Amino acid sequence: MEDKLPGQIEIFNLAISEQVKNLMLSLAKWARYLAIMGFIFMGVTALSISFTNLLHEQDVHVPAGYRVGYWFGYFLGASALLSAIYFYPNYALLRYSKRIREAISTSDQGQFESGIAYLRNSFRYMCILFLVCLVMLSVAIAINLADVYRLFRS
Amino acid sequence: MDGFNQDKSEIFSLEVDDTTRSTMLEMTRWTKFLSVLGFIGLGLIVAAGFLFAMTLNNLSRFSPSVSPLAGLGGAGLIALYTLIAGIYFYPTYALYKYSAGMKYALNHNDKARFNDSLNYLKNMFKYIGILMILVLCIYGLVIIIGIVIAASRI
Repeated sequence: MEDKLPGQIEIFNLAISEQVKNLMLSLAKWARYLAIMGFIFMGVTALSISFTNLLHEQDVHVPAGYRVGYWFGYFLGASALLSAIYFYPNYALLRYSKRIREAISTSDQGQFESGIAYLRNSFRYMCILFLVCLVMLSVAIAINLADVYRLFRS
Repeated sequence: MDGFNQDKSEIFSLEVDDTTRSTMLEMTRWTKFLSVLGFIGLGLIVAAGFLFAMTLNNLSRFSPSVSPLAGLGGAGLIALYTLIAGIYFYPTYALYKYSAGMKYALNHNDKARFNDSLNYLKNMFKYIGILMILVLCIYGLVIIIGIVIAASRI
């Protein structure tokens, strides 16, 4: 335990050593990479949803002249929905990465705090999103259980 | 006095001050909640595997080739879902270790635990990043196969 000078107790909190700085820089790089991958993922998922729709196009009975517009509208709709849901956590990770790298290069406490706040927000959002998905998955399993029960009874 | 001033300049570079500490403590609460939800989700995925296997076995009594997965069989489906749960186990575990370790480190000013926790978070980001690359490659393959099938139908 270090000797603390009067009035200096709070200064001897966890100081960001060189080791921690390197860890944080590495974290920031991976966070940026994850955020970019997340944005790419959103685009690719929207594309794959649209292509799946394209494969079943004949089932939808879209008139010939409207097919390109229909497919493009579907792609835009899927992109908009995915962006609305997944945009913020990727954006927050990107901001966290940028703030932490700036904070470490300039030793700016304000940027450091701001970066950590973005990371916290990103986790908070993902937590709420995951909870909603879990509830939906539980409902789907419950419906499936009911179907299986009916199948066994019949 | 000079020694103290030198220490002061190192310490005033970057530190986990009260604001950052409270933000990080809040973050550990969210990450712990997210990791607990993750473990529940893993259990649900395995349960869903068993359920779908039961449903598939019952449906195949009425129609032999009821879905493309019919060839996989019930055991195959259970193995697939267990594998998916196994793949997602490590990031969930790493997030839990990060939140537990960081909470202890922030409350007890433990630098070693602070470093270890950051390591767990970095490893989690790394793991998810590599997993995303793999999933994107699979997505890319599926899209190419989709384009080929769509082109063959024109």
